[in-house]
Amino acid sequence: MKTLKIQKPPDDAIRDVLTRLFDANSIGGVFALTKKRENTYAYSLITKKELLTTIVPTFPIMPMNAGKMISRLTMVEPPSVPIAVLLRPCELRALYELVKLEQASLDNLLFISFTCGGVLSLKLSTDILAEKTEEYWEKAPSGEPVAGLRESCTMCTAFVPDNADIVVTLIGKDVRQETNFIMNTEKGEKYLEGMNSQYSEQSIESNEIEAVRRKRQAQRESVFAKLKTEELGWNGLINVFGRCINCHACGNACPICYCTLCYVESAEKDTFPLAWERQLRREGSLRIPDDTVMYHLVRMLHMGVMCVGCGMCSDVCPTDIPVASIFTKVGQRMQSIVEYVPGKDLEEAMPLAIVDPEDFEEAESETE
Amino acid sequence: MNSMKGTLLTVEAQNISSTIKKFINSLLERNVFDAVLAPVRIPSGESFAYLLMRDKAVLEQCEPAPPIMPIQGARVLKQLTRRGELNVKVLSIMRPCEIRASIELAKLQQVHLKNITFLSFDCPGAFSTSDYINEPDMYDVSFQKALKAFTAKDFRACCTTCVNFSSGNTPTDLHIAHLGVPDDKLMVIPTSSRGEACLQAAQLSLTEDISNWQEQCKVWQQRRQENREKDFLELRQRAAGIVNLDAYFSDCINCHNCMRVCPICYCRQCFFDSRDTVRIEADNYLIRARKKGGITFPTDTILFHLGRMSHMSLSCVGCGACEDACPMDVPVGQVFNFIGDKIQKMFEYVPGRDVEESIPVLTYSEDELHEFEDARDVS
Repeated sequence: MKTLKIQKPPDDAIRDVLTRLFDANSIGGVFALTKKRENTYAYSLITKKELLTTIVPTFPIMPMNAGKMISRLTMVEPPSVPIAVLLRPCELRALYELVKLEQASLDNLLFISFTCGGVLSLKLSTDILAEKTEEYWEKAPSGEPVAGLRESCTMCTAFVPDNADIVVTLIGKDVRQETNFIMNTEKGEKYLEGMNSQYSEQSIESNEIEAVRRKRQAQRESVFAKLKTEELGWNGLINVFGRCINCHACGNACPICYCTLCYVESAEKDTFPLAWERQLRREGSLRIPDDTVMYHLVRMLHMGVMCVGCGMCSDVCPTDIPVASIFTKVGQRMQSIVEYVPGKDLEEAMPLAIVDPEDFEEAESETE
Repeated sequence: MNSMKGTLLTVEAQNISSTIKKFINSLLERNVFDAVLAPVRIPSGESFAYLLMRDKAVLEQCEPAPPIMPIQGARVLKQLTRRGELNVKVLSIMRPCEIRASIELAKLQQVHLKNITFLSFDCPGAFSTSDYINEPDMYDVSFQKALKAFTAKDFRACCTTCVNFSSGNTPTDLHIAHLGVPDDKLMVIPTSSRGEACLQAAQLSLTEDISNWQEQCKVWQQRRQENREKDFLELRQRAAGIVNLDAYFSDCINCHNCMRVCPICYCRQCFFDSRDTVRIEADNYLIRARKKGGITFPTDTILFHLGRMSHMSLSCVGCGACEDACPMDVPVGQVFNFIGDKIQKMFEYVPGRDVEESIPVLTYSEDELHEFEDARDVS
C-alpha cells in the first residue's frame, strides 16, 4: 500500500500532516487526544491549526473510548466539514458497532489509527505516568510486557485497525524515529496526496506484527484460563461480583452500552414494598440492591456479542472487579457462536437484529 | 430528653460486633422488629453488602460497624422504600451519615421512614473501599482499635473532618456509644421515644449516666472541627476560582460516577446525561470549538460538577461516597463537603438533622439573603 514516510516521531509527524491538511483546507477540525496540562489528557475537538501543538494522539492513555465520543459528536447530524479523527483500533471498532446501532455516523470523518501497543491503566497514579511512558515505548512496540498496561490490551489480538483510512505504525522497529502513514483506503490516499514527500510501498502486516499477535494470543489464553468462567455457576458469580457496589460505572463507560437510561435503573425495575416483604418471608434474607449479579448478566446479554474488548469497564471499576476480562472472554464465546466479529464490517448485520432460533440449537445442545 | 440515660453492655472477648448482635437478637426475639437491615461480609470476604434479614443464622454474620462503606446506606433504603412504606418493622443499622442522607431522601420523597428504626454508633470513620479490598485483615484490626481510639491512619478524607459522627444532629433512635465508655463496655442510649420503647421491651433498665460520653463527643467534635477548618483553608487556596477549579478536576474523565453513588443525587436520569444535553449536532460542537480553537470531549466537565453542586450541596451530608467511587481519585468529596458546609451555614440548615426541617430550596422567599446579595457589586 502507498505509504508516506516522515523522519520524525509519530506525534510530531502526525502534527505535520494535520497542519498541511488544515492549510489545504482539506479538514475543518481534528479530534484527538490532547494534553491539557502536566499529566492530564483528554480527547478534544480542535479547529485551530495552532492548537495542534496540544495533540498527543499516540500517548498511551484512553480516558474514554473515543468511539463513544464520536457517537456524541455525530449522533444527531454529522459535521458539514471534514474532521480528521485519531483513535485506537478498539475505539474505531466500537464506533462501527455504534453506527450499526444508529448512534453515530462516519460521514465526513477521516480515520487515522495505529497498530496499537495498548494503553496504560487509568488506575496508575498520574505521578508515575511520565516514567511509565518511557518504559512503554521501550517495550510495547515489540510486544514485550509492560507493567501497568490494561489487561485488555495485553491480550488484544485485534490491534490492527482494518477500517482506518490511514494507519500509523506503532508496532515494529524504530517506530519512535520514523513514522509511516500507510494509506489503507482510497480516501486515505486522496487526503495524503501532494504532500511533497517521499512515498513508498508498505503493507500493514509485518513479521513484527505477527510476533506481537502470537504473544497477545498466548496471554489471552492464559488470562481466559485463569478466569475459569465455565466453572463459576451462581456461587462463583456471587464471588466474582460480590464486591460490586452497583454504581454501573462499567456500563456508563462502555462504548456499546448506549442507552440513555439503562433498563435496570428505570422505574420498571423498582420493587414495591409488598414484593420485598414477600421475598423476605420466602428467603429469610435479601441482599439490597438485589440485582448486583443480574445487572452484569443483563449487560452481558445485551452487549456481549458486540464487545470490542477495549477494557474501559475495568479501568473505571471502583472495586477492581476484572469485568473487562470476563466480558471479553464471554463476548468471544458469544461472537464465535454467531460467527460475528464486532467492528469489522458495516454491512455485517448485528446478530441480535437477525436472530433465528435455529442459530442457537448447536450451542444449546452443547450446554446440555 | 434532658434526663438521658444509657444501659451498659459487657463486651466479651473484645468482640464488639458479637455484643451488638446479641443485643439485636434480644430485640428480634421479643418481636420488637420483624427484620434487620445491616451490612454483612460478602462470601469472598473482602467487602460488605447490606442485607435485610429475619433469619437468625444470617444475622449472626452481620457486621454492625464495618470498616468501610462500599454502598451508602441511604441508597439501600431508597431501593427498599422508594415505592412506599414498609409494613414490616425494620431495625436499620447504619453510620450517622447514612441516616442523615436517608432523612434528606425522605424529604425528597425517595425514602419512606415509616416502620424504620435507626440504630447508629459513634463512627470513627471509614476506610477507602479499594484500599480495604486489597488488605481486609490489616484494616479489620486497625478498625477495631479505631472504634475506641477514634482515629486511624488512612480513613477517608471526609471522615477525618466529620463533626456529626455521633447522634448529635443525626436522628437516631438507638445509639451505641464507644466514646467515654470503658474498653470492655458498650453503652446503648435511646435517643428517641421509639428507642426508649425498644429498650423497655428488651427489659433493659436505663441507669447509666451519659455525661462521660457527652464530654468525649465534645472533645472529638472540637478536634474534628480543627481538622475541618485546616482542610477547608487549604481547599480554598487550591480550588477557589474557575482556573483553580479546572485544575482541581483536571483528572476527571466525566464518567459521572460521583453522581451515581451520591445518596442525594436521586434522579434516575441526570440532566447532564439526558437527551437534551447529549443530542447536539456536530456543527454545533464545531461552533463551540471555534470560539476557543478547541473543546474537550466529553464537554462540560466543570459545568457538570457545578450543576450537581448547585442541586445537591444543601443536602450534602459529607459522606465521601463520591470520592470513594471516583475511578480517577479526584478529591471530589472534599470540595463538595467544603461548599456544602458554606451553603448550609448560609441557610442555617443542617441536612439530615430533622425530617420536619424543610430543604431551603423548597421554602425560599424572594425577600431574603440580602446580606449576600447586597454584598455583591451589581454593575
